[in-house]
Order: sequence, then C-alpha cells, then structure tokens
Amino acid sequence: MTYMVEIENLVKSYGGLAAVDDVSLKVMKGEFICIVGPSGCGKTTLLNLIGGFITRDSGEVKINGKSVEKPRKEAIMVFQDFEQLFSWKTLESNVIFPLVDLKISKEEKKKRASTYISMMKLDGFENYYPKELSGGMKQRGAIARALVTNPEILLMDEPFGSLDAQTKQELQNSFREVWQKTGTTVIFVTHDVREALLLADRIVVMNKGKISRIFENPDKMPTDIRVREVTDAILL
Amino acid sequence: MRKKFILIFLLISLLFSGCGAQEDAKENKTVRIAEQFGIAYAPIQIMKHQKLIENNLYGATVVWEQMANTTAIREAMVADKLDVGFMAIPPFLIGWDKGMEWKIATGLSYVPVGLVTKNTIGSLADFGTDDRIALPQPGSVQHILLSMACKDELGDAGILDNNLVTLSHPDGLNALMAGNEVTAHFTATPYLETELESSEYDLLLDGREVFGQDFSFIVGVTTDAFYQGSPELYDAFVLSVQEAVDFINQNPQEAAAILSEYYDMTEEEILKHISSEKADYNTTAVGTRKFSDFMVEAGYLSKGYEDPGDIIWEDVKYEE
Amino acid sequence: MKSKIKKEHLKFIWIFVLLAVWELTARFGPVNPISFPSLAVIASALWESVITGDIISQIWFSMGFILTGLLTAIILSLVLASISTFSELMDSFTDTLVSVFHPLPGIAMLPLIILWFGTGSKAIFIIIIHSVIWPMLLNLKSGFKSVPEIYRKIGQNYEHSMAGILFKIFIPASLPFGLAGIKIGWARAWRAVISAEMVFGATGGKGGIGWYIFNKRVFMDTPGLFAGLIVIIGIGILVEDLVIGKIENSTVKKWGTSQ
Repeated sequence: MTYMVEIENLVKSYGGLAAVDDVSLKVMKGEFICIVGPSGCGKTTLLNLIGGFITRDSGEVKINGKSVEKPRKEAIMVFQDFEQLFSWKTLESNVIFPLVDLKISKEEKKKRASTYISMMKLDGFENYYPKELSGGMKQRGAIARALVTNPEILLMDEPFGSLDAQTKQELQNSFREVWQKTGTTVIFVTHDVREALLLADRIVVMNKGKISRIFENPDKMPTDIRVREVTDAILL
Repeated sequence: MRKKFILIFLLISLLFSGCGAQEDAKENKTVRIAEQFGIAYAPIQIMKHQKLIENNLYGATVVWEQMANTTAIREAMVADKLDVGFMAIPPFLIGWDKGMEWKIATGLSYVPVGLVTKNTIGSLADFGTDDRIALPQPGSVQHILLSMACKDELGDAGILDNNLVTLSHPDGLNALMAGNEVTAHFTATPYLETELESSEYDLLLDGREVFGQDFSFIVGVTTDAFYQGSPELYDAFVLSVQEAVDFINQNPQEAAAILSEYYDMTEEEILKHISSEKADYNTTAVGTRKFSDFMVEAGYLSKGYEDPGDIIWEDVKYEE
Repeated sequence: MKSKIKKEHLKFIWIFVLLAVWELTARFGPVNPISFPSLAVIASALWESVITGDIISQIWFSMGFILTGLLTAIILSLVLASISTFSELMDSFTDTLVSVFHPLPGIAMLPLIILWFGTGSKAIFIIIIHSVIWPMLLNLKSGFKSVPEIYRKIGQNYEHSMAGILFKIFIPASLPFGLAGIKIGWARAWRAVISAEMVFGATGGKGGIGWYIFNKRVFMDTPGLFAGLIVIIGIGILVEDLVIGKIENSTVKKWGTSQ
C-alpha cells in the first residue's frame, strides 16, 4: 500500500525545546486527517514541516514517496489569517494566480477558476476586491484558490478558527461537500473538537510535540459522547 | 460670506502695514552699502578701513551689507534695503531699463577682464555644442563682452548663450582646471592671471580689445531716494570714493598692506595687481554709451538713454 | 454658506481671492511695480513665453531629465531593496547608506558634484538620482518589510523563484509605499533640477525651467519670473493631483490598501 504522506521519527526543536518530538504518521491518499491538541502542542509546526516551510532537525517527511525539502505545489497551505488573498487582485484574479504560469488559454483559466468559485459558493463576487468581502468569503476564496490547481494535499491551519459560529458551520458544510467531490487528501489543524469529529476520517491528538492518541472517526458525527472522549484525550 | 470679507480685509491691511513699517526705520544719517571683495573693488575696502565716509560727515553711520552677487545687490536696492551698490555698467543698465530709479554716482575701476580658453580653442567659431563657458551670470559685463565679440566675429550676439554656465569666479576657475566640459572662463583679475599661468590656457578675448576703447569695469550706483533724501551723505560718499581711489594710486604699497588684511592674498600679489599698468582706479564713469547702444541692438535692453543725465547724477565725471 | 460647495471648488475660490488681493495690492498698494507686477503684465509675459515656445521647450527639457532620473532611481532602489530583503548583510548596508545620504540635500552636494562630474547633464542627473533614490529606497524597504509573511509563503508554495516572488508579490503588495516614495522623490527631483539649473545654467540646448527663471531674474524681468513660478505651480498640481492622484485612485485606493 502506498501512502500519500509518510512521516518517520520527525524532530524539530526551537532553542532546545522539542516542538515536534519523534512523530511518525502515515496518511493514505484521499484521507482527511485532523490534528488536534492544546496550544503549543506542536500541531502547526508539524503542518509546516509537512509543507516544507520549515526544515526538520531529523527524521523524514515524504509526499508521494519523495522526501520534502522545500514547499511544493503538490501540498498547498491554507491559513487562518483572513488576509491571505492578495489585496491588489480581484477574487477571480486571486483564484487564477496559481494558474498564471500554466500554458493554457486565458478562457480556460477563467473556466477553471469559476468552477472552484462556484464550488465555494462565491458566484457573483468574481470582480470584488478582498477588502469588499467578509471574513467567511475571504476564507472561501482562499480555499477556492488552493483547490484550483487540484493539488494532491491540502494543508489547512485552522482555516475557520477566526469565524463566528454560524459562518463557521456553513463553511464546514461546504468544505465537506467539496472534499467529497474532489477526493483531495487533507491534513487539517484545529483546536475545535466538534469540527474534527465532523470532518475527519482520523483524529490525531498531539501533546507536547508527540502524538498521544489517534481516533478512527468513520461516523463523522460529533455526538456529545464522542466530543467528551476526544476532549478527555487532549486534556490527559 | 461676511466672515470671508473680514478675513480678506485683514489680509490686505496686513500687507500694507508691513510695507509701511519699514519706511520709519530708515534713518537720515545712515548709508547702507554692499561690501564686495576683489581687486576691482579695492577702493571700497580702503573706504571701510579708513572710515572715510564717517570722517567726511560728522555723525554718519555706514552699514556694510554682505551680498552674494550683483543680482542680489540690485534686488536689495529695489526693495530699499541698500542705498549704494557697486557693479558693472550692463547690470546697472538692465535695472534702469526696467524702471529702477537709480543713477551712476561714480566710476571705480578697470581691471583686466577676458575670456580664458583651453588652447585647443583658437577662436569663437571653435566652440562646439558640448563646450561650456563659465561666467558669473547672464547679463553680466562678461556676458555682454562675449556677446559683442560673437556679434563681431560670428555675426550673432546670442550664438553662444546656450553654452553658458553660471559659476562664481572661484568655482569657474575650478571648473576650468578640472578639465570637464567647461572649456572657457570669462573672468577678471586675479583669476584671469592664475589661469593664464598654466600653458594649457590662452587668453582668447581681452575686454578692452573687444570693447574697442576704455571702459569702467565697476561703477558706483545710488538710488534716487538716497540721492534726493540724503544729499550730505551722498556728497560724503562720492568724496570718500575719490579719496580711496587717490590713496590707492598714490600709496599702492600702503594700500596693499591694508588690503592683505582682508583678502586671501599676499601683500606682494595685491601690490602687483593694483599697480599693474592694465589696472586703473578712476572715478570717471567711462563707456556707458557704447554698452547701451550694443545692448539695445542685441535686445538686452528695450531702450537706450537719450541724455547722459538720464543715467548719471549731476556733477559726476564721465566719458561716453 | 450651505455646505454644497465641494472641496475642490473651494480651492478655486481661494485661488481667485488670492489673485484679487494680489491685483488690488499691485494696483493700489504702496508697492514697486518692478517687484510687484500686476496680473495682466504677468499673464502677458506668460503668454509671450508660451507662444514663442520658450517655456514649453524648457519645461520639456526639465521634465525629460526628471523622468529619466526618476526611472533610473526607482530601478536602482528596487534592486537595492530586493537584495536587502534576501540578505541581512545587504539590509544593514543599505540602512547605513540611507541614514548617511538621506538627510543630505542634493544642492548641498553641488560643490562636490561640480568637482567630480562637472556642470553638464551628468551632474544634474546625479543630483536627481541622489534626490530620489534614498527616500525611494527607504519607502520600498519598509514596504517590503510590511508584506505579510503569508504572502511570501504562498509564493514559495507555488514554487516561484525569488524574482517571481519579488515581481508578482512584493512589488504590488508594497505599491502604497512605492507610490509614497515616488511622491517624495518627484517633489525632491523637481526642486533639485530647478535649483541645479539656477546654479549651472543651460546644460544643453535651451536649458530648463530653472534656467528660464534664473535668466528672468538676472535681466530683472519680474513678470517673466512670475510666469515661470506659475508654470512650476501648474506642473506641481498637474503631476501630484492628476498623474499621481489618478494612479492612486486606480490602484491602492481601489484595493483599499492606501496608507
């Protein structure tokens, strides 16, 4: 069996303190992984190591069997910050940005962008500048831009973390639908246990740089019992 | 709307009151003169050093003002900040032509003036578009003499006007010696002599030869307000210039000793320049007619003077 | 006054009031017509300069200098700001350069520039570059520093080269700073050229607008002097309000990123 992501004995420390301490994890193609844990548990560092944005001290990260040395197009990052869309580009141009160097016609680029803009329910806002969009719409836009190149992996760093409860729920639902359509592998960092239970195939609990537990989550139903179970694992 | 009118009224009255206040400050027995340096201005320094005006009129005060150049002196005289200025005849005529109420009160000096060029330039026709001629400023006597020579030799007074670079005498000397695009310098004593010491430079034009006769390089000019308002001071001033000129002519050694205190030159150098046969300290104003005629013809003046009395005060010695 | 009058209209009203005060003072005030000419005289001097084409060619000359100087300085400061972004050593080097040269007015360097570069167009060009490059570099550097870390990460994520990240992300992202730099640079260059021309005179052809004013001064043509000043004011308004203002409206103001 081939894995999309293979992590073996990964270590990264800052000033003698291990942020990621001897982590090993294998992610299958098309799998949706949520990493949860308290602040400072190393989940964001782990995501950045997988993306190649920071260099590891030791261990191995492989995507599609190839060792990760720097950021790559196969694994696209989506951030929590609302200001990740380029302020000088319209929504449509932002979504087209990853396609700029591709040798396809302008119409084709627009068509591809429009597919993902529709998928993220942003029809009609193509010519809006980011400052004219709400926080939720900006995050929808960021996801559309991340999906437009049809990357193998999406690395998501609490993308809905700054949204109000209602908007967050809407986005969770839309994103779940989109993921079902595209079948992209997702590694999703969150501190929201309900969110993890709603979206993930497997929930990885991190604590002090280590993986403390992994939950299988076939039902994708955030029942109170399940929430308490995972929360307890985090607080342990 | 009413507020605005009041504001405008205040603005206007402020303007007027500002002008009025200066009138009162002027005192009867004070003369304001621009102090200038250089061999051609030597009598002014003697006049200041020996307090000639103060000696010639009891109770007179002289305020010596520092001015950057002839244009600044002229502007100060328009603004009634100066009573007396020393300058060449062309800048005086330009002011007169524009309606300034001033006239020549005395001649002062002639010192060698001329165009020094790199010896690769043998005549005015040799100047290319990239060659630059440094001189104190357009409208100066150096510029007018250059125009006269251009008119004589090339038929067009303004043909080199676009090659001019405005530089003070010392800056002009540096620029010429630096050997960049400044290939000529229209200057006077002592810069002229310094430049000609080098074998790389020749005197292409001599001021007197270009002009075709003697002329006053520097004259003393006073405003009408001073001439009419302070006749005693005016007389004391004119007499003092005469005394200073006589002193230099009769006691060059002593004059050189005094001047060396003020100038950045040795006594010997100063003595050599002021007693040179080519230099002439003289209170007769010479050459006004020829300057005026040429400047009218070349378009630098809109009109010439009819009678010498239009531009020279009464009892002033002159030779047209 | 009902506040229906727009700010720009108010500006015109004030200009009109100032002109009226000027005319009244010139006609009835205790002023010397040599130093305080009336508007009609100034207007005819301006008209004469325009129809003889003098002033037009001289403006053209000055503007040509400024535009090439401005462009060169912008490119140079972009290069310096870029290397500073990617190298800390260069960053401290350019910081040092800016802190040494930025406070130095171009005109103060004139004596040195005459010695090194003479008085020709090269010298004026150097003065323009000096006037523009330091404020431009200062602005671009803080602009580059203000680019969000995420923008850089996104560029890296799509495997863009350093140059690609620079041109596609850093430059547009720091455009508000760049425009502020251009504004300061333009104002400085414009002043520097005028001052330099007034010192050097013609540097080729008929010389520029500074030389025009200088000539009017030495020939005591005060109306002509005022005509030159009016032209300078006009160009200032034209460039700052219309050209730079238009660019701002269609970029940073539209994007909502103006400082």
